[in-house]
Amino acid sequence: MSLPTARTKKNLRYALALACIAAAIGWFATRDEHAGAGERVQPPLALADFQLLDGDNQAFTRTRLQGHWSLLFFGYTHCPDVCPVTMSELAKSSALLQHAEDAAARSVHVVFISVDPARDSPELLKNFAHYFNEHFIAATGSVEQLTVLTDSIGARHRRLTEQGVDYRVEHSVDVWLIDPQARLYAKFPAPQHAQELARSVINAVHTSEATL
Amino acid sequence: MKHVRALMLLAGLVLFYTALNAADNTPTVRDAWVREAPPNAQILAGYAQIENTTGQADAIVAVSSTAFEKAEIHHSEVKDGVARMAQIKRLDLPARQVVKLEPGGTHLMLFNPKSPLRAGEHVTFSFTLSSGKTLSVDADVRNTIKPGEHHH
Repeated sequence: MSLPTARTKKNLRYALALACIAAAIGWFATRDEHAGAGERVQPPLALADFQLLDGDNQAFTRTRLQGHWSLLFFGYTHCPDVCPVTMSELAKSSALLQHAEDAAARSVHVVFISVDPARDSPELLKNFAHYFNEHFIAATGSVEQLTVLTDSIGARHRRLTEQGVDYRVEHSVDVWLIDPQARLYAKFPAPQHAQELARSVINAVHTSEATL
Repeated sequence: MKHVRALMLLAGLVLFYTALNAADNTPTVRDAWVREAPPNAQILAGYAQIENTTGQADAIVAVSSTAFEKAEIHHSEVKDGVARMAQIKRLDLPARQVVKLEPGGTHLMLFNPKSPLRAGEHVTFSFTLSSGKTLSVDADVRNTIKPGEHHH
């Protein structure tokens, strides 16, 4: 074997640089895959007072989030791809949580909040949420009241200015974990996975038990 | 006269052979399915894998189905935690490649089902290709909620 020439040294440097880039891409890709474990909000963030209506046309306010843990998800029923994927994972994680040892983990509420009140009536929403799980709660309200809640959580929603009935709505796809004092406790970015959601809820309930 | 007949026969055979060959060289669709939705849902999503086995690039330029009022191709994208959807008017099918329509990505956007669709039922789609060919696709309706069931 001959000694490395300047040229092969240069090639080696390129190869090393490429390997570093590949490793970085790999690290980010796998990190994203495990994002289902959730991001803690420390300290938990108190939610603003908001006024929505549930699927039975009853007031749905901050007090409805007190005394138990809740998972919130913002979406709309004319969203056939991203929303049902998350709702399915929430349904599966709810089923898993029914086997939790901790009563607080078994009684987590799941709330689907529509950010498309023009098309999603409370009745329509109730049907939609119950399709995934008959215990799921549905809620919506005026865009102003929805924004009070989403602003305080850090979620976003925006109806696109399109003609006709088939307009689209952009919205945050995170799942938000709310503690029994109606405070934002953690955020689960998409794509969520039922098992990781369930595990994270059990951990959160366990960890915070002493302080609540 | 005899020669004209022979020529016509030959021309017919050539046409027949070309048509047969074209049929063999049509992109194929696998694992097509529609996500079961709540009974009153007005928009559903469909998924499939389209393999262009031919050496010619092609594209899906229109989708239709007798089970829906309207069918389009859309792409979901999550950017900074916010989901956005955009219509794709022309879905390219590069030569010898598989294009996947899958949850959270490119999908069929199916408007106003003519009757509620339940898991286990089948619907038919027609994909119009830029090459002029038409693909007839059979898709089954699937429930994705039941624990233990997986996406494909």
